[in-house]
Amino acid sequence: MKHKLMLVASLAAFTVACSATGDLAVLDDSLGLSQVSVFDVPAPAAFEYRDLDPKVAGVLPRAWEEAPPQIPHRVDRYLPVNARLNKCLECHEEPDKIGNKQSGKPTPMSASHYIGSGKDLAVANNRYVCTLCHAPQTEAATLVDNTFQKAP
Amino acid sequence: MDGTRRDFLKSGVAAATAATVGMPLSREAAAQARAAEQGWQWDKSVCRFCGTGCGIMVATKDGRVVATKGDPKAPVNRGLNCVKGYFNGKIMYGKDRLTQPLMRMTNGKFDKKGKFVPVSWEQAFDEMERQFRRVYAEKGPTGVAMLASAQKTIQEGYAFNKLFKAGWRSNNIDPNARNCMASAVAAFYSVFGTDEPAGNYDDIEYTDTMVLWGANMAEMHPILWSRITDRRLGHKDCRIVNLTTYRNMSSDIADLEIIFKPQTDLAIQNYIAREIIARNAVNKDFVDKHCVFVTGPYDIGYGMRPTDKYAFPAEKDIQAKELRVRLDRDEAIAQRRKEGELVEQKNTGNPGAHWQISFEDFKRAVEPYTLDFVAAMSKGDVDEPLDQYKAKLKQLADYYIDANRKVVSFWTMGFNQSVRGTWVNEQCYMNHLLLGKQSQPGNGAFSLTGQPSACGTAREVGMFCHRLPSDRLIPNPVHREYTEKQWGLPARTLNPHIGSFYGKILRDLEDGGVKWLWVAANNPFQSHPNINHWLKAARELDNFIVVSEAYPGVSAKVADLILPAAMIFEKWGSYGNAERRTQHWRQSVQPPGLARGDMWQAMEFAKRFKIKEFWGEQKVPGLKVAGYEDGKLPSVLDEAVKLGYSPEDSLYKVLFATPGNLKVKWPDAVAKGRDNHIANQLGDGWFPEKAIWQEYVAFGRGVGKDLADFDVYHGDDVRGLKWPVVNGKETPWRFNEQYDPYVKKGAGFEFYGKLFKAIPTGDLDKVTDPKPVSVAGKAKIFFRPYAAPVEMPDANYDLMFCTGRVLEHWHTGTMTRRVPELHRAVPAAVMWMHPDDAKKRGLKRNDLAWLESRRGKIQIRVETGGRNTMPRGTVYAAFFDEGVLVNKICTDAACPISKESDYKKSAVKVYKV
Repeated sequence: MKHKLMLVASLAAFTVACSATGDLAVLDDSLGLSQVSVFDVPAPAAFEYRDLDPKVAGVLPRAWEEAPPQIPHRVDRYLPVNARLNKCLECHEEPDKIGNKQSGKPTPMSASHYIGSGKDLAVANNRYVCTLCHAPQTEAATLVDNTFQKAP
Repeated sequence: MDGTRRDFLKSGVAAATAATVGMPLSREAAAQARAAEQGWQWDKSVCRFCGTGCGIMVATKDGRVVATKGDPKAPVNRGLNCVKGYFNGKIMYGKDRLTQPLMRMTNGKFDKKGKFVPVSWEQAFDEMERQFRRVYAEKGPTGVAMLASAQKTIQEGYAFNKLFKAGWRSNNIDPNARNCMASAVAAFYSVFGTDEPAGNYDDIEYTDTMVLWGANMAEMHPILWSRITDRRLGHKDCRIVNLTTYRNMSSDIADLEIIFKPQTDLAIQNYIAREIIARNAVNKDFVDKHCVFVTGPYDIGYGMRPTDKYAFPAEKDIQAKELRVRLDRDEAIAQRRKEGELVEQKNTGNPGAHWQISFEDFKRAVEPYTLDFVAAMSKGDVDEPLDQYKAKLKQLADYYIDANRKVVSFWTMGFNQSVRGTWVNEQCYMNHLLLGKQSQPGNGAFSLTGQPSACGTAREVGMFCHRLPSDRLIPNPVHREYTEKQWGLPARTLNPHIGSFYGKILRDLEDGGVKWLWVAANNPFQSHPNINHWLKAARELDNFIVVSEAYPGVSAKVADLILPAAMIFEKWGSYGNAERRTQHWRQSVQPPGLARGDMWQAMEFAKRFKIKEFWGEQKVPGLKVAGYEDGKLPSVLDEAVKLGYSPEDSLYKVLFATPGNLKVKWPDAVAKGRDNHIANQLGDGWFPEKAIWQEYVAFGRGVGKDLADFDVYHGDDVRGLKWPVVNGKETPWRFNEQYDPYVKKGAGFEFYGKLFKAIPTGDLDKVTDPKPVSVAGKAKIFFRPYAAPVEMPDANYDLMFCTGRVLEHWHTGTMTRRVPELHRAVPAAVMWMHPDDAKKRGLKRNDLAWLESRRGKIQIRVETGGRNTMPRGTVYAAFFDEGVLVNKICTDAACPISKESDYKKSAVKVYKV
């Protein structure tokens, strides 16, 4: 019985996914992220990264509490981070303001990015290349929804 | 922040021992308490993506993953993840997740030209079985094949390997790892006689010099890059060299960037060797005691078909080079030949043959690789002054040779994916061995891997068409006999004829040699080069293609039957990373709908077949091995009966649910309350992942590949173990007496690998005495010459095209493109190009362009800025985007020794749409 229920549920999900065809059968052309034949050579859409000034960019929704926040503002003036220069830290290294984000002000890096304490407090070197975890974002529409839900 | 400030920054590594990368213990405890209140359950697990093998923690609630984070106790990543790694929690929840088998049907029956219709597992397996029997009856073991994966778990790899080789007596199972690290393996075998690296990731903190050879670690191994960055910023004498064909993110932290011309790394390595000798810096004691000098033939072809029957018209000129090659000026100097000489490729049949030579011969061979010669031919940026480039090469040699410096060389696809991939791997060991800077903390040539279990599943299990578990080989009768005994098989059950490698399976599909193909946990119809051939073969020829997948990617779209697969946290499993660390995880959540793990798929399908169908006489075209009738596998059924089997026994019973394995019961206390959907579905009360693990580890014990027992890896405090694990102890550095229990006492170093350790003797051109001489215990220092890429830009195809990955996406993007944060970070593949090259073609940033090679063309957007800076003449695009199928462009020429495809060098033209 349980087995049958699962079957019905998954059929329902599949029907939604392929509603364009109107029945349960789908052409390969309407599967996947591109929804074209594999023999086609489609023209990819152009995209641009967010070009908002940090002061007005706000923050993007976070996937869950410890997920790395993504970059809401323009980065062309700040990247790349190199061994001599890290423009990200100029704004986000604010150990006195951890957990105290204010509208229109930089998001202070979390405590996990520092080591030591008091006057020895410093940014951990293995966190130095910000873009390993924090990626600039475009406004591109998602290709397919994601049903992940963070716990309430 | 300026440079002086950096010196005051503290090392995150030091902190990791006290806390978790800076997070105060009190805060972590608070976070744990909060999670407990929320009713979250945390499981230790492993990242699904690259070969670094970061530990992660997976939080579940009400049967769903609600969060993941870097595992603070994991020695690999110490609590950190890269942006992909952080989003492991979302990869299972794309809305178009496959939850039911889909088969192409018309009017309720299978039809290759039909539409996909949801079917039950029973219906799916019925058709899969019917097609299997049809093909097996027509073509025997060589007509069926599997394109397997280094993303399968170790147990899945072992099960499929056994099903194919022991059950169906077919060696046509080969992983996508073939395109990832086969060249590395070939060199591990030829140089050391055993696979996988000597060192481990702690080399990063022990060394003061790190040289990246065509490995953009900042994007491809981000967590190792964070450790390298940590070392660089916290240690002022540390130096990082980035050898690359274009400027990339790794250059941002590097001290020295060397932009070289594609494939001239072969010449640069020989320049360093020449310098080592010229500066009298050979570590004579080390070399005399532990090394021999060798070389092999140069005329080995390019891993293409010997015929142009299947080539597109435009491909024929390149394909002809498989038979004969006209040497260009640089090759002529590098190979001591004449420019323009036409060289018949006589050694395509045995390209890996090699023989011992004298040091004097070796010295003579590297003599042409002077700074003047190598600098002029290898400079990759036409706009860089030659003198500046020369100074850089000299600096590179200085770093290697400096007696006060420890050196680690890192590489992955830049070396491996080359028509001379094995050679350049061997050359890297050449220099480390000449200097005696190998197999010591902070000193060594370190081959990285790209996939999460290239080492664990593909290499250690031997899930290749020529391998058996733990460094054993199909052509070796002793290895086959051992494996037959371990598997309880009658003698001569195993097929002694090497099967088809990954690319050849696709070529077989095109020429009708393979007609039944199972693809699992990889996406060959997007990821293998030159896909216009394989897409057409899949859809237009008489064959049956099964694809086990989580999402409808390109390979699923060209399949005849799609099987819904369980993903990583939905099953028990284990992966082996690039530092020999084996890590296991438990099932955290149930797979959705009817999705099932690959292990169940293999075993359930095996229930449908009896041994009498396969263990009778079988035809194997081309089989010619002592002790076997030509073209035939003998019947072993009488012998099977003597061993107590009935001809009616199912492959499931004989291969998997053996009396020994059935004793390993499910449920098991090691589960700590976690479920196992595969044990439940099989329903006969055994614990397949544990039983198969214990069966597998017997292969490695006592031969330097020792793995620990299943339950050990599941211990609360264990975060993977680096094999060989001997008497419960890991081995941090292999071949070094101080760290490796396999090295003879008093030897200091011993390169004890057993493969290819009896070789003939000769000079630079040929074997002079064919009698094999033992070189047991020694490593081989190869002379390998520079050879030009098989395809060079010309007047028509005037640019060199290179492909690879980007930080934010994994492989073909089937998982990461369904994570909104990762998709928005890089929504589509773009083509990086020098602004002058763009301007010359009337193009600017974001314009749509045609990218065309001899093999096909695609549309792509131009990028002239961002993270990569191309030299004039070279373009780059990643292969993750199914909307921009760059593998329609790439050549499927390959290293003739390793059979690994050359993704890095295809001649193209670019023009405005």
